[in-house]
Amino acid sequence: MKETADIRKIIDYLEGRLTDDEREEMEMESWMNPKLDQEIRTMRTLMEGIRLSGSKSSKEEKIAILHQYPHPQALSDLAPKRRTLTPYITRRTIFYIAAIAAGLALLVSIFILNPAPSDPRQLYTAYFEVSPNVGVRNVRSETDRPATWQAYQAYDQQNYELAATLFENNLENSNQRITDLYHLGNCYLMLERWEDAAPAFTTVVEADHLLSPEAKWYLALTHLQTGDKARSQQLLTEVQSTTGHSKKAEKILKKLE
Amino acid sequence: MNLTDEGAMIRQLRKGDPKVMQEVYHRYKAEFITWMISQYSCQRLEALEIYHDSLLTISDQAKNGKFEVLRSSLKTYIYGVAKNKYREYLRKNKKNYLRSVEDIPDREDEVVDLSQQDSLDLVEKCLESLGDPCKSILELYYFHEMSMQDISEQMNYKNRNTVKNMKYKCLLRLKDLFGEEWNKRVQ
Repeated sequence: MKETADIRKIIDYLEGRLTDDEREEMEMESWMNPKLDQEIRTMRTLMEGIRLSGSKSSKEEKIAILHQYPHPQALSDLAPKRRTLTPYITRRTIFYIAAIAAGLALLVSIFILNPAPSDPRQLYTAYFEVSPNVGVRNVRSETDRPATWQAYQAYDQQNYELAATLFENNLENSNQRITDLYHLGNCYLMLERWEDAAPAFTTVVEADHLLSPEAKWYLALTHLQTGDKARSQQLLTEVQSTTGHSKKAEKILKKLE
Repeated sequence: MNLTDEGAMIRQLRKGDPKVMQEVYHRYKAEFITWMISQYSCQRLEALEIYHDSLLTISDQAKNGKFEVLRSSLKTYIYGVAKNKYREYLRKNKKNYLRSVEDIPDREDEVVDLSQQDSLDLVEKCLESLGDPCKSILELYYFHEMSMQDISEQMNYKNRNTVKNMKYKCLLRLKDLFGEEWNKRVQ
């Protein structure tokens, strides 16, 4: 098979246009052929990177850009001469400087103007950050469990009310899925539904799942918010020795003493 | 070849018989992918990558004589290897989702490799370099999920195949750019 034919077939495979038999053949071949396997992984990374980039601007903005290219043009003119990467880096640098400045201002307001909060609810506000989506992400060819897919899309779009409703519906209509519950718990926290968040995270903690240690951190924060200091301290002590939040847990525990 | 007896299959595996690996590949693939998706809510392609990587590890173990004693069934063994692979995958690929910034190891402890997040950042950088209309066409198709027909209409093209071809060429150019930038980083 020629390389271009391979690439076209890889694109068709990743975009879900192959028949079941063709897909099986492609997957078997990729397992036996490391070069093909690498090509597939590279193309998948490119598509994922495009989705990530696409999420940063609206559809309307993109369409407006396309309207600047109204006439068919030679394919050789498709992409303008490569621009230097410097403007991109400069814009990013400016963005980072602005972000760092904003972060410093926030730190000043938290730690200097309002030093070392020890009230559990203040600690919750200082330390809570909603979890990123660690479940399903955007993939065009994903066709299984479309309802779950919509829930995660809403979650990615920070529409936590819709995401919570969709997750709740899914959980009522199917077997309880731990990853969904974990994200539902985060939706509840964002919606300030603390009483609903606690049982969701408790189930995840007790499930002995990959996300259980993360859920323990969020459950500890939930108890901080609801004023159950003792339960929160107990969970934070466990978090200290198990997850990526250990140092934050240690700091909160010191402030709670 | 149809090795129904798992014991016989394991013995052949230890001999490094490639046909047995193919048999193993087909026997557990569908069930494994279903299990990964339901257990970890991962994408099908991610599950497949984990499956491939797990079987390659087992194949290497068999070739190097490290696949000596199995205390569990072959299926359980594959799933065990896969769990570790998936943890490793999450650690490297998922934007450090499960770790806080505070717990990133000291510089000297870091493994120098380009993670998936680095790769995605690099793709974004290459897209900027590629410019429009390529960037917009690709983003409208892959993120906003516009059809080729709809994109053609926005560009006043009568034939959707023109845009389809453009999208293909754009993707190839992006791949070239990505390859160049990647090579610069790893050199």
